[in-house]
Amino acid sequence: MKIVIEEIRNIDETEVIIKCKEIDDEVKKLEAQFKLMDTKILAKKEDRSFALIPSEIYYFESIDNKVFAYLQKEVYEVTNKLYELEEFLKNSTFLRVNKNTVLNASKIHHFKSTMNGRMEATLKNKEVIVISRTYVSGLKMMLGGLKK
Amino acid sequence: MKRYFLTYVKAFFITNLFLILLQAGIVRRLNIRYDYLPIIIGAMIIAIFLGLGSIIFKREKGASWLNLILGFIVILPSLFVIKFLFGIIIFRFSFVIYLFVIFMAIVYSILVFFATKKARAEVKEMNELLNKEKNKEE
Repeated sequence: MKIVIEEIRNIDETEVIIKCKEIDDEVKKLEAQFKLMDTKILAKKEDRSFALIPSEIYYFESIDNKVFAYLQKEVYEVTNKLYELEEFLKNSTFLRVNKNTVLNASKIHHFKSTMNGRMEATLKNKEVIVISRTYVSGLKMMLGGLKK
Repeated sequence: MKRYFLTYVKAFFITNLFLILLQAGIVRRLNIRYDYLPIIIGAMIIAIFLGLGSIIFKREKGASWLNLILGFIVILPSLFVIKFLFGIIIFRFSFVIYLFVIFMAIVYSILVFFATKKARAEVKEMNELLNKEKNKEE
């Protein structure tokens, strides 16, 4: 892939143009990554509002009808529902891995299995998330193991 | 709900198969015939224990080793149903019940072995894909 950065002083907003032969998975992924960079998730913590950058979020978890965003160390409460976030972050590195969790796949350190055949993902911050069997194929697809 | 029903249907099928084989063995060796109804009711009760054991074993919450042990404990009462169904014909000697426990433990261990093996293969594949992605990014 060739990367060209052109510096133009008189423009207001940075513009990214992707030139490709055809729109394949890699291009779509690239587009999703750029879109994700421009997206902010509104969250609150101790009565203060924050705009979170999705790429810094490890996962979203729904507990008692409340949705929380987990960063490396901090936890924020998100106003959106989990399914809304799932839809909103579609085509990005986020995907649902169990009934209550939407995980950022780019934050996975490794996978491991347990004695009862359960799959778990250990994140880069050492947290462990259970991957439900129903969502394994989706995760595999995201990692490039299965074709759509 | 559908998932639980499917688990129960599978358990019921396996139980029926096992009980038919057991019954056939008894008929062949001792020429004793059974009523179909008690056997089918027994199979339905045993299927509840097996289904429950399977659900507990596959549970995604809690410690995996605990689910593994609880899954086995839950299926043990099915032995009493078999004892109730076949009585002294099979359980003439008290040690037979222990033989059944050992048999169940062996079957359970084999199933656990295959479930773990399948999960390990899947995890290995996922880790390889993850490493490939990481290498691409680097």
